[in-house]
Amino acid sequence: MDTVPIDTLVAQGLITPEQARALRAQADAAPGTSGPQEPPSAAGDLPPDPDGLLGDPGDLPSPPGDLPSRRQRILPLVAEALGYVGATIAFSGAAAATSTFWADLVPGAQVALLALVSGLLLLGGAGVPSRERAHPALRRLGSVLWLLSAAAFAGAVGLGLEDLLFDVYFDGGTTNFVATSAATAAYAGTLWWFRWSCLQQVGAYAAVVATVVALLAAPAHPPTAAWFGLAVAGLGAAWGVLGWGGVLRPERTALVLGSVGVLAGAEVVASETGWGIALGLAAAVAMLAGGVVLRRALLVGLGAAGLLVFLPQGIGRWLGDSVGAALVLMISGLAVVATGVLIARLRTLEEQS
Amino acid sequence: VNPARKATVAIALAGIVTLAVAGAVWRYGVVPLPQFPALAGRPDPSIPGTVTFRGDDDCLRVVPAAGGPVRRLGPCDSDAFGPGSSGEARLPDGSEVEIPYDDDERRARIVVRAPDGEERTLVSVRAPADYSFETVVVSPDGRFLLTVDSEGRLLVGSTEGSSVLRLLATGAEPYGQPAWHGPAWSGQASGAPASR
Repeated sequence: MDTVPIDTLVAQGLITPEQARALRAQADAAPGTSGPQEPPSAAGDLPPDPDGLLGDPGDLPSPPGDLPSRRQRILPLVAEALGYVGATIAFSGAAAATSTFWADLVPGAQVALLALVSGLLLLGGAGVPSRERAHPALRRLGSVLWLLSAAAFAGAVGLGLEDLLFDVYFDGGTTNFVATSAATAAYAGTLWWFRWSCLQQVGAYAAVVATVVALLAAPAHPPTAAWFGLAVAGLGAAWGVLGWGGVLRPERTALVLGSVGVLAGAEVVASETGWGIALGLAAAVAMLAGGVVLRRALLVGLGAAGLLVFLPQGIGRWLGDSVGAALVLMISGLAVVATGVLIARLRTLEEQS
Repeated sequence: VNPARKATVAIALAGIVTLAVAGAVWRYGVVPLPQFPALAGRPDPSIPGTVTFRGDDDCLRVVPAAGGPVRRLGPCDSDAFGPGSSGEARLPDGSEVEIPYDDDERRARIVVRAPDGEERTLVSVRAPADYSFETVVVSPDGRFLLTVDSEGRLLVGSTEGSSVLRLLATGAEPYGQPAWHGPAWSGQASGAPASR
């Protein structure tokens, strides 16, 4: 049987570099083969994947009888599962226990308890390896622990400031909201700085959005809801652009968070004025176009979802109950179907490139 | 694409978007409270009578309608005041003075609706979304109106033409019912109040 060099297959784009490495490893491990084994790549050929969302090289098929390798792969997953189960059990127990005496605790004790939980979660997350070569399961576990730490931190700061500010400011609630969200944004942002993971970015983004909302709500006479929506949409756009530019990592998470922020903000604007619908439609079209240009199927999907949300609203608002409106709705449905086909093709292209 | 150049472009774009949105919100979104010229410093003798109103401390207060010092009368008891009225304020020609309930959120208005349904705007001020006029009362002769806004400011204006409100007193209970009194109007103390 004629054989084709593996490098040729890679060059022709028929197999990926990872598949080529797997084939070589399998050939080297087979009986009767010899020769130097290609050193394992440090993901140099792979796109950055801090959360292991794209899969792990260790998940590639391993040769039969390679028990140490299999154990190495399974152990981190077991550790991750144990971590989640343990955290859930501990959280449930703590919630059940504290619910009986939480109300009897003095405010300082409540704050101290939440701060302790936040600190323990911080230490737990720090104890989990976060290096690039660490198993994705362990990195995810560390990210989850740090996200929970940020949530507990927000609770501690919020409770602490509530007692402190209540006697100082008449509008302690608003001041507390601003201070708590800003402090949490700083804390979550710091955690994200140390671990560029998806969940840390989610935590930081949520805290930044909360800070923007708190600042808008701070004046004695805050603006209408549409302005809150516009601010959230603007923040989402800036976030997505920074993700595209590689300033915020992971890029894909930033693009998704930014896009969702733009669409959600536009929906809030649309609840007050037709401009929100126009904004949402423009954002959806921009996401579709951006997804095609950047070959990001996820952006295309979000753009299609945006069209699905805003197009019927626009038809109802601007065209009313006419036959033309129904026809436009039908055409938009067909457009979404076409988008689905486009996503499938883009996904294939993504996998090939 | 050079990653550093791409990052620079992204930061510039994000900065532009952030500044544009923040500027728009600051310029158009945050609306200050409407301000009205005070009658206390420059009384207007053309406005007759005195006005009684319920203060935010549940005391009865009296102030000259032309402007002047506010006097507090006791006893200060919330039970001394009746419940608010949802009645209408009418002009002598039968027109109703109304506070539009479901109006533009960026403006607070007082309108006159003629018996034939024609609407005329008396007062229209740019205001925050949570600002409103709460109660409006017409003077017995129908020439002036009294209104209390959501900030507890007692305001007086004309019912003829486009009215400019002037500040008569602060510290009024927004849902209280101010009343107009004067020697010439004995027995017909102010028109019926209208509430939102």
